[in-house]
Amino acid sequence: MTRSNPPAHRLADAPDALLAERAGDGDVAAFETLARRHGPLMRAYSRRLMSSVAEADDVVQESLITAWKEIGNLRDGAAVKAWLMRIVGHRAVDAGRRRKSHGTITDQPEPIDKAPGPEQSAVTGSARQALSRALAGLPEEQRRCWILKEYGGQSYEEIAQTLGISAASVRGRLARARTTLVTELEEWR
Amino acid sequence: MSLEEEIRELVLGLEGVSIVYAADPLWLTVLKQVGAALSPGDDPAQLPFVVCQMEDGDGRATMRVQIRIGSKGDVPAPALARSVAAAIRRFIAAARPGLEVVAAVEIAAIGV
Amino acid sequence: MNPTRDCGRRIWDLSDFLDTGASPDAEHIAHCPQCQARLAGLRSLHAAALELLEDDVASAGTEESGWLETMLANLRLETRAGRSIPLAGDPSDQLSETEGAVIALVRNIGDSLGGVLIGRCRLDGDVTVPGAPVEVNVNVSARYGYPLPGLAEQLREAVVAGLLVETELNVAAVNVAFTDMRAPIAEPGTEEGGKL
Repeated sequence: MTRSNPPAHRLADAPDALLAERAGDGDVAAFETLARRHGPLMRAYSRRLMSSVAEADDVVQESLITAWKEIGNLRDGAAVKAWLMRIVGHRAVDAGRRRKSHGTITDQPEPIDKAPGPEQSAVTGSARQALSRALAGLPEEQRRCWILKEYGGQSYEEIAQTLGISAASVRGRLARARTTLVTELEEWR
Repeated sequence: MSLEEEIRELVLGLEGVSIVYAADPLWLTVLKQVGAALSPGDDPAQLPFVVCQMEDGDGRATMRVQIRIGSKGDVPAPALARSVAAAIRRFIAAARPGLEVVAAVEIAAIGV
Repeated sequence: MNPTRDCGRRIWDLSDFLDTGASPDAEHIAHCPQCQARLAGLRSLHAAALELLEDDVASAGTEESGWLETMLANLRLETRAGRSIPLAGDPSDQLSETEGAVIALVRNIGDSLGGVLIGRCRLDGDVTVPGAPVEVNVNVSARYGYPLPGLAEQLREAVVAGLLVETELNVAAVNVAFTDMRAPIAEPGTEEGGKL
């Protein structure tokens, strides 16, 4: 009776589609490989969408649990990365809504010193830091549209669906966000 | 120790059995819902593993014992399921004489 | 910014243009210095966004997350059951094995042959009825597009033998499909097999 599992490095090199098929059949090692491969991006995305690192990590954890349950239904295994990102986007927006309905957050621009993302760059005044600060200063709805577009790579229609607004509203919020960010980056320069 | 826990211990000691799984496959969801944070050090005995239920089988008192196991791979799964059921039956005959037993054994993993 | 008078276009149009590459105003945009300057600003923002994303991903990739280890440990205990496949026993027993267990078995058998990785496995047929004919369908990843000669037959034999021992299924056929899948291209900012 053969009981071998492929060594971890074999799975580490396997394409997304194969891993998704195996995970869909119940192979935890394959799912783990996917989680490690795409996890950092999911986490970075979640952190920019949420207000705190702890909330962001919760969203990623819930997203991975959802992914595990649903991955057997995924038809196009090659698109698993985009699928994972969509799950994170939806969960982050839902988590944000739940917070609001509990009255802990009002729909106002978040204070600039409450940056949603980690300020990792050691070089002060870098373009990335300037952008990170500018992002933190955007009204939440504009920031989310922008992150869903630039980090999540979603289309206007997909963003509209995720946020429950019209594509025209998405277009407007994106344009306003971009106007502000471009201006602030130019000022920084 | 409860009857369920005793059966679990018994089955874990049987040749060919590698693991006894939690009874409810959705326990992970349930735990998350109640907000329990499970760490690797937590006592697994808090979760239901073996389920014993009294049933009414044609007037005779019947106990249905449900268990999910994993096989090591050295004993073929069909034979293993049978021997686990027989062991449960023998155990209950000694612990609760006169009780009819329905052993529901499910092998959830082979060669783990 | 170009000091000539405002061309009247709004950033809305340029924002769209940036995303879709098309605009009813494309002719104007192509020749207007003001629009071109604004577009350059937008492209620069997009580039900064990609850099920030790269930074964010890199820093997220180096942090510990014990919760992932816990979750994965728990997932291993949650087997993906599928249908219930009956096993013969005492009349008052209800013995079974899960479809998930049998699929994992087939996958392990295939993986252990070496040189290939097994993808999706399916049991087609009514596995819940003892003796009903069942076909096993296995996807094999031919990573470089070269299915090894004789591998299909070797896999079939190994699967039939394994199922004979571990199940009571009536295996009518084992169908092997070689699927051509290419290896992933490493992306900047991500570590293969790195910590989450």
